[in-house]
Parts: sequence; structure tokens; C-alpha cells
Amino acid sequence: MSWFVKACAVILIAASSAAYAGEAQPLAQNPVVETRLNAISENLRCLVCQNETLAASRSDLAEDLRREVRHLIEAGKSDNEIIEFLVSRYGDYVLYNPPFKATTVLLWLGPFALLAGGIVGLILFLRKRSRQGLVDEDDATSVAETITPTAATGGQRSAGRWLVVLMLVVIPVGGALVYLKVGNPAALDPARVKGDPDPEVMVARLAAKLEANPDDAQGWQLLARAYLVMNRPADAVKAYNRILPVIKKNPDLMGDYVEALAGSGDMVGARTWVNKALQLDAKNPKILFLAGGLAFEQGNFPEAIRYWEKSLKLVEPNSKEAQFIQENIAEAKSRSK
Amino acid sequence: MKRFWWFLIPLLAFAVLVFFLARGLTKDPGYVPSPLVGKPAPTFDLPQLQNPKLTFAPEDLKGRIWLLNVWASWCVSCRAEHPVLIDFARSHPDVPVIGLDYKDQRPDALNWLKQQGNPYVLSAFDADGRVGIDYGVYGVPETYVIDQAGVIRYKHVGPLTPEVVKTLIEPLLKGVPQ
Repeated sequence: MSWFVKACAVILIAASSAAYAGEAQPLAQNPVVETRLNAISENLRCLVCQNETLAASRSDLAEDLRREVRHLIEAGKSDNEIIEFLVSRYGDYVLYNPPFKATTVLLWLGPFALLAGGIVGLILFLRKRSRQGLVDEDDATSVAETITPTAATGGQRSAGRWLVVLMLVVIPVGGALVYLKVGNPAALDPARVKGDPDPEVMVARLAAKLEANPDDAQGWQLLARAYLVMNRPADAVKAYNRILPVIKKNPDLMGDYVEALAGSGDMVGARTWVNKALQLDAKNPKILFLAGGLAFEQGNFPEAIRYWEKSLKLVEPNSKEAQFIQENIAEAKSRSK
Repeated sequence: MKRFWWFLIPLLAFAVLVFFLARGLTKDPGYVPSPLVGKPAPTFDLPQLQNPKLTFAPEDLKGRIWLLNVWASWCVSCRAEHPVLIDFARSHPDVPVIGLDYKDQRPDALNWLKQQGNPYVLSAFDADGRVGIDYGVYGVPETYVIDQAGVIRYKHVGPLTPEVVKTLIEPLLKGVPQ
């Protein structure tokens, strides 16, 4: 039994990485790797969406790059080596934190240069004014005096003062109002921004949503697939049972269903459905593979070999799947002796 | 009138600001300069699209200047650039155009070439996009000019147009018999 579950998991992962490359791969294989992957990709920019991090993006390229980074982590590369790997292909552009070098001097030092220039300018200006004896306690009115020193009457003084008070109120209040209108105040609370990365919680949420809206066949499919990856085949079977009419028409789905049935221990059900699927599509490598697995499970090695060899002919030569099927065939051959 | 000159400073600052903002408007924010230009083309060994038993590696074309064009049957802009490539292949028989079929399905890709015409000497089949990552591909179609020494001389992101071919690619092909 455990052999079968493991085989299904491998073929599922292989199939989903090939056929569902565009879909988010939600479930962590190894929490240590995933944590490092997240930490690294938080600081890298997605090339396609550009304003998203590599960690947040759902674009195809971001998926691929995360997969690549995952491989590099598993190969024992350091964070710097991984970042260098991406920079050598995509340039400094991928870094949210660009390095300090000749082309980025203006970027790094520009703001400080502007600030220093402003301070120097302000000091020169104030010195000059104090030399001319124009500074008094009220800065706002003295500015008015500088511009029109002779016309500074009492009325203008208080008007200037009111203008300052008005500005002090209007600018922050106006800014806050505009932010409330166009901004996202909820984003100020870090706890709410983080979201919920726990797959268990996300799956539970999806399940609850589907109970409320049971006609969503795609949702059930997604839920069942998630259960399969989480190694909860019995729950997957329950989810698939909700969409049996859809499954009956789709050999790929039948394959997933068979996998769930076999994983949950219902071998009779699995055999029934694998035969139905073969009637519908006799050239589906995954179904042929599952049929072989079920035969193997029964101890019928020649039949297992027969199915697996058919399946082998239909998958991409030299691929991971092909290699895996070949290993299985070898195993069946050694047992049938 | 010394004070008069002081008023020029904000005006000057404003002019500088306008200059940079105006320049920013004419640039494509989606363009990512490639660090690979001037570097040796990353090597690979991929099965060919039409004949999976044969492979293609960039070293096969060492000593020649050639074009590597990244395409896919699912890519809409590739359709737009395709006539330009076909034209190029016809008018430059000595510059091989190699396709890199990126993250595609074999039957779809073969069908696409049948419908649109095939400007490629051959296409390498990059099913999982791994080679694409090595070349820094981020938006199909992309085109690389690779010289006799195997160095990337130019990278174009987005569909080729007759102007791009004329002003940016053909000058790099000087010395190659047409």
C-alpha cells in the first residue's frame, strides 16, 4: 500500500509540474527550503509584473524562477550564490536593493546631495536675511516683508498668519482624506497584510466555501487535488464524490479519482474506475500507469508490466516520468521471476 | 540686480526635473537591460522540435554568426513578428535562424509552424523553460544575435520589426556574405 501511495505522489507531482505549470503550487515539500525560498524571493523582483516580488507573483516565469531557486537551495547553495545566479541572467534589475556602483551613484547619493544642497541654501538665505535685519519672531510675515517690505501693514500680517494656520490644518487633513479614499488603511496593520500562509487553513477555508456553493465543480477539483497532495486521500475521495458526473466525462479527472480511491484503500473502487477510464481513453499514460500499479498491487506482475510499457511509450522519452516508469517495470520484472 | 539671479535657481531645478521626467516618458518601463550582452552565450543541449532524437547545442554553430529566436505557439506577439523572421531568413541565407521553442507542447508547436511557415533552420525544444532562464528570457518573443566567437552581441525583447532588423541587427552582420 505505501508503495502505491508513494508512486501516486511522485506521478502526481510530475504530472502537475508538467501539465499545471501555470497553477500556483501551494504546498510546501520541505518547510526549511520554503522558508529560505520565501526570504530570498521577498527581495527579488518579478520580471514580468515588475512591481511584485518574486515571492508574491503568480506569473509563469516567477513559478519557474522559484522552482529554480528551490533546486539551488536543495543543492546547498548559499543565498549570495543564488542571488548571483539570478543577477547574472537578469541583471541588477531583479534586486529590490540595487548595489552601489558607478551607474547607481545618483540613485544612492542623489537624495542626500539634494538634502545637503537645500540645507546649505537655507543657511545662506537665513544669514543674508539676518544681516539685513529682517528676521523677526514671525517667519511667515517676515517672508511677506522680504518680498514687499514697504507694504507690510497690520492687516497683511494677520492674513499671513491665518494662511499658515490654514495650511497646517488643510494639508494633513486633506492628505488623510485622500489616503482614506484611494489608499488601503488595512495595509497599515502588518498582521492583516501577512495573510495566512498555512495551507491547512487555506484548504479548510476552500472546503467551507464549497459547502456553501456546492455547484462549483472546479472548486471541488482544486480541493480534491489539494487533499491528494496533502496525503489525505479519503478526503479527496469525498470531494471527488461531489462531482461524479463531471468526472465521468473526463479521463484525466478519472485518473486523479482512481489515485484517491487507491490511496484511501478502496482497491475495488479504484479498479472499477480505472477500467472505466481506459474505456474512455486507452492512450492516457497516467491511467495506464495507475492500471499497472493496481495490477502490481494484486501481484499480477505481467499485467503490470504490460500496462507500464504502454504508458512508457506515451510519455516524453528521457523525462522524469519515463525514468520512474522504467524503474517500476524493472521492479515488476524482478518480482515476477 | 543680484537678487534676480536667486530666482533662477528654482527655475533651473524645475528645468532639470522636467528634463528627467520627459526622458522617463520616452523610455519603456518594461525594458530590462540584459547583462548577457557581450558575454558568451550560455550553453545547452536540447532535443530538436521536429526530430526529438537529434539535439542542438550553440557550439554546433561556432564560427558563424546566427540568430536565436525564442518563440512559442501560445505567444501572440510571435505571430506578429513571424513574417519579419520569414523575410529575414529568406534575405539572409548565410545567417542561420535557430528557434528556441519555449515552454510549449510539441504537437501545438509543430502545427503552428505548419500554419505560419518555418523560418528556422531548426528549433530547440525547451519544454520546462530551463534554458530560457539561462538566457534571461522574461517576455517571449526574444531574439539574440550570437557572433562567430559564441558571444551574445545583441538581445531584443518583443517582436522584431523591419526597422529593428534594419537598424539594430543588420549592422551586426557586416562581413557576412548576404
